[in-house]
Amino acid sequence: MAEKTMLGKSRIQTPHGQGKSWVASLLWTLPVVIWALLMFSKGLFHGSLAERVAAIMTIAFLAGVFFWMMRSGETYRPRRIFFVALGFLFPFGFISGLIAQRGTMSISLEQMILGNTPFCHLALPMMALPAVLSKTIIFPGSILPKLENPRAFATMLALWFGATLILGRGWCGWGCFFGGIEEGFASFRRKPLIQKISSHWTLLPWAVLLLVVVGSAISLVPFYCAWLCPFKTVTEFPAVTSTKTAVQFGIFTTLFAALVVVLPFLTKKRTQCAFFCPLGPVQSLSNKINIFELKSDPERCVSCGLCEKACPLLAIKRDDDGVRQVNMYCCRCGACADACPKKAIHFRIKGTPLIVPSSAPRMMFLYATWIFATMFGGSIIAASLVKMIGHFF
Amino acid sequence: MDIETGFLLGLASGGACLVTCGPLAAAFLTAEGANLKQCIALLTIFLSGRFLGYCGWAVLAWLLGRAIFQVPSGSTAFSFAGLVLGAWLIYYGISKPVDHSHKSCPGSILKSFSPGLGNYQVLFRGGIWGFLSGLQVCPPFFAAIIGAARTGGLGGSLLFFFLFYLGTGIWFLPFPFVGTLGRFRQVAQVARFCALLLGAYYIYSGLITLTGGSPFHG
Repeated sequence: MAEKTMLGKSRIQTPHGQGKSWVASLLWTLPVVIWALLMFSKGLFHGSLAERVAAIMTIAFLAGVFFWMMRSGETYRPRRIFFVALGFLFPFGFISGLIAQRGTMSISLEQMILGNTPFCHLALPMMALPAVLSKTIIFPGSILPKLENPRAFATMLALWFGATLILGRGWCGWGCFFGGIEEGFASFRRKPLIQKISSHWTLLPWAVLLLVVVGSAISLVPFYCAWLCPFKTVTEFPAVTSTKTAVQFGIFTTLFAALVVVLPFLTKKRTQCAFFCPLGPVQSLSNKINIFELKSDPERCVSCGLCEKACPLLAIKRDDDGVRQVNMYCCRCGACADACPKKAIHFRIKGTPLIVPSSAPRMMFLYATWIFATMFGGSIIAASLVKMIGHFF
Repeated sequence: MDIETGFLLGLASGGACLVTCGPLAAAFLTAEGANLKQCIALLTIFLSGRFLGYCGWAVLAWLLGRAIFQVPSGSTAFSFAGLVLGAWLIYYGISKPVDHSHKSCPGSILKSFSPGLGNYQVLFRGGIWGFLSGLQVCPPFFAAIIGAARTGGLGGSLLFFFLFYLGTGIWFLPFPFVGTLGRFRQVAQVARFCALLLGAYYIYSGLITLTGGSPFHG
């Protein structure tokens, strides 16, 4: 449906929010295109044919998704396209790289000792305590990036910290490539087969975090990476050479199948992120200091519960008055705001009044997020596309 | 190794005990202790049970000394103790919702076996958990077993393990204060999940040692 604005321009009025006119949407997307051109200029103007094609595809994709968000007024569905693409392209690029370098996804003990293990953000919480107590980085990867392995501790720490300052737990909703895999499997069904999930399971990641941090500090081994990470299944894992490594591999694959594939498919929730990931609580705490939030307007909320059903992380709870409130587990994906038929949930900048409807906080959040998404997620997508083009053509 | 070195050994290695037994104690205190006094009482019960487990090791060490170190270090009985404790913890972590009565928690199983216990079932459970946790194999124990075995007599072995127990016990002193957090519903639930995850670890280590392996070395 369309309505006329005061200036006489038509704009989309979706059930989810107010979209912008074609011209306005294009103008709002222009800075994103310029930013993407800057980011991928090297591949675009100086790269091989595959790199040029990949850069063009990535820029078009990022611009297209952002334009969709502007035009439709929706946040969640366009974001999901980007996020799932990131989630599935990341392992493709990563595994392709491993196969090209080593011929296998497994890593031997010798390669680990040499520091050839890429660093990922999930390992960050368990590094802090040993680093403080014993001045030791308990990870076999390199601290500073190297030419052959840019995914080092310092690189990931800087990226994660910068993104977390800007986005809070938005990192989990817009940056974490692992989360994209889950969201992909959660998107298969229109309705969940399992609907009732007790919210107390959202406290499980705190227990995982506690044990992982204490266990890593005492044993000086990155406990989560060594024993519990489901995503080892789609990245790399220790070569199976003993009972111990066989058990580790069994744990990784079982957790991946259960938490990343089967449960998201059955529940339409991101179960690994909501119920297991040790970085989740850290990111949730960062929401406390982040300036953006999603806020429910009690005057408009009719307690229909659609937002609660839509939230992939079980981050919406009913307060004493029956009004749904977004809690600190929110990953700012916008699913609740899009699902609300009364437009009662909005992006907001903390400390400012809740003006309904106001698109300014949403736009500020989307720009901040998309700058990061282009830089981080876009680079991953482009790199994976290069490998895909090289592989198939 | 002198008998008094048992204390130093316990003090030096008590941090490692916290990995396997500390969260268990914290889970128990946080879930059951309502105030500081109760937490201190529960910790005392837990550590008393743990002490009995240590006494078991002291006897084993004495037998080990008599048999000139020919008894296998990771015996089947202790592996089974790990399996029982692990299954119990998992059941406990999953089955008892917060703010409900204690009927669904594993301790109620004990009540059916010992109906006269009444309100003391929590203490009884704490004691049993402490005892089972005291039977668990962790690296400092191997050093302690060898030290106790070298003392020669049963009394010397018991004394060695008592001092070892005191040394590791110092690490548990802050736990009553952790336990008072149990008034917060969510913290209590996190503590229960800790018990659940630890249960999985105990089962894993029990199975691995039963098959002749070592939990962290394959």
